[in-house]
Formats: sequence, structure tokens, C-alpha cells
Amino acid sequence: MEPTPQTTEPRIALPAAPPGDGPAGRRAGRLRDRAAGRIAAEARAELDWLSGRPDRDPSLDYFVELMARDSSPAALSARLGRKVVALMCLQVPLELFLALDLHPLRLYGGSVAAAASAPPGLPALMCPLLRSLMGGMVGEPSLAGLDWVIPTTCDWISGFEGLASLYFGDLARVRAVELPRRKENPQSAERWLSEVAGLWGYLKRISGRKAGRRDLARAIGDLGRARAALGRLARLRREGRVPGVWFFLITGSFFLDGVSAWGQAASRAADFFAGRPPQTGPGVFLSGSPIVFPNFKILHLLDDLGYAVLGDDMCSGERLIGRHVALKDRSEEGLLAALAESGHEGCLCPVFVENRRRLGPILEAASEADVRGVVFHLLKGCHPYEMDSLALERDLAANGLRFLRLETDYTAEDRGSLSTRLEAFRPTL
Amino acid sequence: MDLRVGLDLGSTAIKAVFAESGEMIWRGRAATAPRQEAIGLDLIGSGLRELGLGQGQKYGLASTGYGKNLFQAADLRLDELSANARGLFRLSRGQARAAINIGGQDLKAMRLSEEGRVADFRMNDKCAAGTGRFFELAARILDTPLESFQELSRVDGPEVELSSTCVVFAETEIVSLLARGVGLGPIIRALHASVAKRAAGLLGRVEEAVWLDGGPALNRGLAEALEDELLVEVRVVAEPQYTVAYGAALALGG
Repeated sequence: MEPTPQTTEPRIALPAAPPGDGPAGRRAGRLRDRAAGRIAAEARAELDWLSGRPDRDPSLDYFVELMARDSSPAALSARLGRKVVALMCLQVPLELFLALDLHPLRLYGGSVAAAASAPPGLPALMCPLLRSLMGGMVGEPSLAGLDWVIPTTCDWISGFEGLASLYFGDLARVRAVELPRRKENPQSAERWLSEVAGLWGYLKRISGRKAGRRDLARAIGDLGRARAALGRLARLRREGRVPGVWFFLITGSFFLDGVSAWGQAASRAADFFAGRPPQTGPGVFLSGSPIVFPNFKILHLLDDLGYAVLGDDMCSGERLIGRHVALKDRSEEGLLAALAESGHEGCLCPVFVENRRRLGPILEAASEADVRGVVFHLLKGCHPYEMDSLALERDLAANGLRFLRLETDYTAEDRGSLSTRLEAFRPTL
Repeated sequence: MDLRVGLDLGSTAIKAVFAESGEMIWRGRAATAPRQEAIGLDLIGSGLRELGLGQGQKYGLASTGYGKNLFQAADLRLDELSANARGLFRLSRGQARAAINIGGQDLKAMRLSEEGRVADFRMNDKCAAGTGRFFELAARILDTPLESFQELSRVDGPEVELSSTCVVFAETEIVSLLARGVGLGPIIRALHASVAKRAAGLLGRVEEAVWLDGGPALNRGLAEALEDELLVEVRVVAEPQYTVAYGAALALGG
């Protein structure tokens, strides 16, 4: 898909239009300011809470400060000296962006304040990640002006461009990357490689840079080092040394700095956690819909009730580590093929047809650590994960692992009922 | 006297049970309102008076339910599923292995172990379908007290169905049925069937008898609808609205 021309005339409403002198502009400005203020206040409250934890260490300040910074596209771009590209979902190789000195900014929302600021008229039972993102766009209208890379994962993500265009006007430039939903047949792999190669060409064009195998190899190395640091944190978490809230804060800040700086900070954090005593509560593995900052409700509850989160398979958590990139052919085409394979094969997103492989990482974690059960975080409106959870529950039971599905959204009002479930779950482990 | 008090601070009612040597010797309830701790203490005071015990009587206290953490004086706080399992297991004389509890805002399906502990459970997610709130809403729309539901459900009339388990949509459907001239009996039977379907879905397939408790379990019409849905016997203990508070008292030991 070629870049679409920018359209400045929104079709229905003007909630996020730049403020102007007229009543509509003034109203849009007020909506923007109100949304931005509430979103910032919510994030600040979460960060204040994290900062007040007794296990806060100076090595974690970096991540807290990253989250507290202005991460608008303009500010991020100025800080990193790179063009920022919006990215939804992790299947596309991040190395392609880095090789071209582009900065991928993963866009999904975890803010209830943003969700509440979303334009009116959206579907009632909507993916909370995207509702929150759309509320975030009300507070930060410049997001609509970015280049967007959208892998066609779930229906919500695939339909996002159309939905966003109703309220924000057409997104400036969109590159949809079509994701084959079957992994097991060679045609799918070929199609995916073709999509990845097409994206590589597209990113070259928008970056205005020429890049080749050396740049790709450099990016693979840079990202590999950052991911290795995260892998070390994940191993320490298996031992119960890394509380869930810190782990998700670290992964949640991944897209807010250069990978090398982030990776070095993750290494320092790992050094700190390596010296921490393991948590002693019952170990659980987190699965399901992504947990996105600042919506750490489930993590707080698990923490409060004495659970130790020993692992996760979320695309906002451990899945950032990615699958090993097998470098056999070091030509540009060979590197692209290796990256494409890594992203497609390693992805555990429930949108794929053959999904029993989701069980593997959980069983692996259970063999490495004292995982007694799985807490499945299901965001209301996230149908792929809801469907996936049923078979997963059956398969986990067959392997002797307990399972608790927690359906929730971003509001805080269900903390009591979630807590009841988690309290009752504990004695069953 | 080895007195133990269980307090279930639920979303619609606060229930208190006094137990001595594991036997329930007094029970009482009050509507949930602000200042739950004071309401609970008043209930305990009533129990002590009615049992002829002085206000200085020593007792162990366990709290459960959504308001359990509001009760600072409790010696033990435990989740209502665990309390429910203990109370029901005792009242069923150790027979209960599968149970459905209908609370004010929760619908719980539970499997019990041989020892009477929670072996597995499921609860309704963020939705009032199948809960006590659903019945309360229906009672308001039908302008009929909940206590009459059992009797009215036996009144003949054409079979109708509530296709939606959503409380909001069910309300619309009930209004439509009333507008069509459908009588209270068929509508209440449809309500029972709707809740039974929801509860059975949570519990899954069972072979053994299912125990129903919580306030709505007093309505035998609901238990019959559940039997139709589950195709197994549905049993109701005496005073099913007190099983959770009783279980909390038992959790204190003794």
C-alpha cells in the first residue's frame, strides 16, 4: 500500500483538530488540553506510587523518568535526533526501522483517562487499547500526522485506520503490512517475507536513506544486545527477583529511548535485581491481553496479595525479547528473510490459526520456575484472546496448571471483584 | 463459651452468623448501607442480646465479602468463595462437590474438594446478568416483590423466552413482553431460565447434585429452572443466604 495523501478535513467531528480562533477550534483546544492534563495526571500518580516503593533503586530511575518525560512525537524526535514512525503490533522487525535511523514508537493505550477522553460514538465494546489510543490522540493530535506502520493482526488493529479517520481525518501516511494468519505453510512465509521486503523499501523511501546489509546487521546487533538485557531480567524474574510492576515499567518504556541506552539501563536494573531476595509468594505466569502503562491494576493486585509474577507471554512484556534471529545468509535478502521468519514464527498473538504453540512458553516457564498457575488478563472487547483462553485453559489443566481468567477493563471500580477472584485462586494453587 | 462470629459484608446485605462448637446458633441480616462496620457491630449486638449474652462476651470474629476490609475489628478476613465452600460443605454434611452461589452482584460457580475447600471456581465477569441485582431489577419492572416469584412462576401461561442475559437488554425485553400482555408467571419463568442458563454455563458439565445458595436460592422456582438446565438434582440448604457468613465463622477454627 502506498502512502495516502494527507487529508486535513475530518469527516465527522473535530475533537482533535488544532485549536483555531473559531468556536470549533476553541472547543477542540479545550478537549485537547483536558485530555492531555488528565492523561498526564494519571501517569504521574502511577509513577509517584512506583517511586514510593521500598524496592525503588537508583538503577530504576531511568525508566521512571522516561515514562515521565514528554514523549510527543516532536519531543521524542528532537531528543533522539531521528524521525519517529508510529507502529502498531510487534510482528514487523524493529531492526528495519533502526537500520534506517528511524525510531518506531509503538502506539497503544493503557490510560483510563485517555479512554475516557476518546471521541464519542466509538463502539461500546471496543478494544480498550485502541479506545485509549484514540483518547491519547485527542490529547496529542500530532500523532495523526505521523507515518503509521500497521500490521494487520486483529480486526481492531486492521480497522483502526478507518475508525481513526472518522475523528481525526485520514492518518497522514499508512503502511499496512498484511500478516498471514497461518504459519505452517510455506506460502504464508513467502507472503510475509514479501510484506517485510515491501516495508523495507517503504521505510527506505520515507527515511530518505540508502541502507543495506551492514545497516541491518548493525541494527540486529543493537537490538540483540538490548533484548539480551531484557532476557536476563526475564530470567531473574523466573527466580522471583523482579516484581511484575517493575518488569512492565521497564518493557513499557522500551520505545521511549534509543535501544542502546535502554539496553544499558536494563542491564543496570538486572544487576540490581540480581542482588534482591526472591519473592516468596505463590508463583504465577501472566498471559492474555497486554498490560500497558499506566494500567497496572492487575499487577498491583497480584503484588498486594503476595503473588510473585514469574513470567508472561504478553506483547507488552516478555514478547519484546523476540525470537532469536538465525543468521545464515548475511546478504541483505538473507538478513531480511531471517528477520521476517523471526517475527512471524516467534509471534504468539492469538490472531494466528495454529495457536497451540502458546502453551509452549508457559510450560517452559513452569519447568524453569515455581509457576503454579496462570492468570489470564482478558480485556473486555478483546475477542481473539477471549477465544484463545478457552483452549488454553483446557491445555493447561491437562498439564496440571491452574488457570484464572480475569476479564476487566481500565476502570478501577472492579478492583474488589478482581481481588476476590485472586484471593480465592491462591488456596487452589 | 467458645463463640465465633462470621460477618458477610455483601453488596446488598450484611449477614452475621454466631457459631458455637461449629453449630449455627444465631443469624441475622441488615441491608448494606454506608458505615458498614457500624451496621455489622449492631448486628452482633443484636445477636448477643437475643442469645442472652452480655455485651462483654468474648468472641472470635471473621469477616468476608466485599466489605471485609472495612471491618477493622476482625480477627480473620477471608474471601467469600473460601467462606462459601466451608459453610456449604458443613451444611450439606460434607456432600457438596459442586455449587452455585447467587450474590447481590456476583454469580459464582464452584467445585469443592473432598475436604470442603475450593477446588475450582468461576465468577461472572463485569456484568450483572444472573446476579441478585438482575432479580431486583426485574422485581421493580414487574412491580412484584421477589418473595412472590416462586409462587408466580407456577402460574400457567404461554412459554416465552428472554433471549438476552444482559440486564439492560433483558429489561427492554420484559417491558416488551408486558406490552404484549404476557402475564407475570411466564415472564418470571423466563427470568429463572435465563439466570439458570447463565449459572449452568459457568459451572460446566456436572454429574453430581449441585448445591444452590445465596439469597435467590430461597426461590424454589429458580432451583427448578436450574435443574432443567443442568439435568441434575439441585439442592438448597436451609437458610441459604447465611452459608458464607457461617463459613467465615467456621474458618476461625474450633
